[in-house]
Amino acid sequence: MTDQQCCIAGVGITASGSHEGRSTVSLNVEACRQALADAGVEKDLVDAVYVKFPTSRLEMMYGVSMAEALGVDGPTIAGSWDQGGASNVSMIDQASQAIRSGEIEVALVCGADNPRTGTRQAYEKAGGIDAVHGWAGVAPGYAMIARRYLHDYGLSADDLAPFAVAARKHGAANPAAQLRKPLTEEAYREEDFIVEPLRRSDICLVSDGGAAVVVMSTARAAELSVGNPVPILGIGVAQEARDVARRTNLTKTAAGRSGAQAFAAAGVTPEQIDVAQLYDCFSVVPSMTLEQYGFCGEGQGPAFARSEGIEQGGRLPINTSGGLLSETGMPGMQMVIEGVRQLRGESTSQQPGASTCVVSNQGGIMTTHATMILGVR
Amino acid sequence: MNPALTEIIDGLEPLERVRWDALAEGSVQFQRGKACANAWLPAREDCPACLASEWEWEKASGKATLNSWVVYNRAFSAAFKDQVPYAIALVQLEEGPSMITRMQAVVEGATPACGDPVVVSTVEVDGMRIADARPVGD
Repeated sequence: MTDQQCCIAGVGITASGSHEGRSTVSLNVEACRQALADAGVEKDLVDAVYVKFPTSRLEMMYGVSMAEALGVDGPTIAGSWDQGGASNVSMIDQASQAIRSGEIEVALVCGADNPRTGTRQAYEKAGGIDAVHGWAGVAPGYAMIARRYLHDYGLSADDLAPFAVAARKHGAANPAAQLRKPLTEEAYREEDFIVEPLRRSDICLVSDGGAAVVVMSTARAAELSVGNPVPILGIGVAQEARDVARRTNLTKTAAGRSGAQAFAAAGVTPEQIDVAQLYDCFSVVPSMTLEQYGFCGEGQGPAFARSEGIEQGGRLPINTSGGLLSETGMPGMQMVIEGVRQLRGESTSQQPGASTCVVSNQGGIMTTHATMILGVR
Repeated sequence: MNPALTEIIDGLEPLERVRWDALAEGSVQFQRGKACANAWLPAREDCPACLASEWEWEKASGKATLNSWVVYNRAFSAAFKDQVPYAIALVQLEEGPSMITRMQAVVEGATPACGDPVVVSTVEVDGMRIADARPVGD
């Protein structure tokens, strides 16, 4: 194993919203086609395909299907990773390690889902003794965590507003975002609770779409004259074992351990981070992630948002393409891609001079977590 | 009974079915390993602490702590479309295991705080008995 640095050599993302009649394989192929073109890399250099398990419908041997659809003959590695939204950064981690070991050279890492126009079976199917009691859905799991978080730190549901408002502001500035209507704090406060204490604007979009990145070593990117590689400074991963309905501590999540690993690997501190893409399937998540990454103290996420600023131009702009709340509800790769855009200076809410970005991915109900730190000189 | 709810009940795994049958008798149960005395939920074949497969059912005392609770203003499953609004609690039994229960008191106007002591027993909803957490003294 060498310590050679890896990079995101190219990115690709489909339009967000509805893709009636498109399979997740086709959405993945479109994203991969774009990512390869963005990197300026020929397809025949790809020797690994890592794909996120499609969440809306369960499919066997999905990684093999993807390699076949992409015409990647005889890949060294082709497989799917089943950690929900944490899969994206986790797969980039796996690819980077395989590259450093010399096993592979160029990896396509992708994911696609079509819960908006395709089946939502995997999301809607309630089962088991908890479901008999009425415990169904994903949002209620996050509401359970949010209630405890707000209680423990003396916060109210209204305190989550800055995260929803910032996402919608950045989404409004992004022509590719699915939801481009800005949100005021007043309008936020007037919304009814869907599952108390969460309102509509605290809950992610439902989107079809696909996204992909090309991963290789920074040295290989230079050999191939890749135009705009973004170096990966560090990655950290961690997870919970227990389902939310079995957790005795709802507010201490794996984000802390994952973030600590990533910052240590990158050799940077939160103070040195210019912009953040924090998984926001629900508005409470980026607030807790900020705290657990060490940007502020426990329970201080909402105060940090207000005093430091999480919109473009503030101390730490968060989710500058709109995140899951506004750009696309697709689980996670859009955060990686927006991190790359920021460090290339290509965001629609560009933070001037951004040279470091932290990306968080998480899956399940704050179950799996992965953190990546990107940085350019 | 709502047909979607019947489908959920029909799909219960064998050990969950035992818990569900016990609820019908008014009993909230969990598992305890014979070898290491670990207590656990959800129901599973082997002890997640010592991995032994010798265990027995134990009736919960009912004393528990409210970890958190939510109110469903919208049904997330067709099985409960006629029951909204309803409240669900995550409680930790004094014996250790955590579990999901209803919290009828909330719909009746109670505003419990996370960390409050609760009593877990059973209530009848839509023709069957399920676990319910009630604030102590309520």
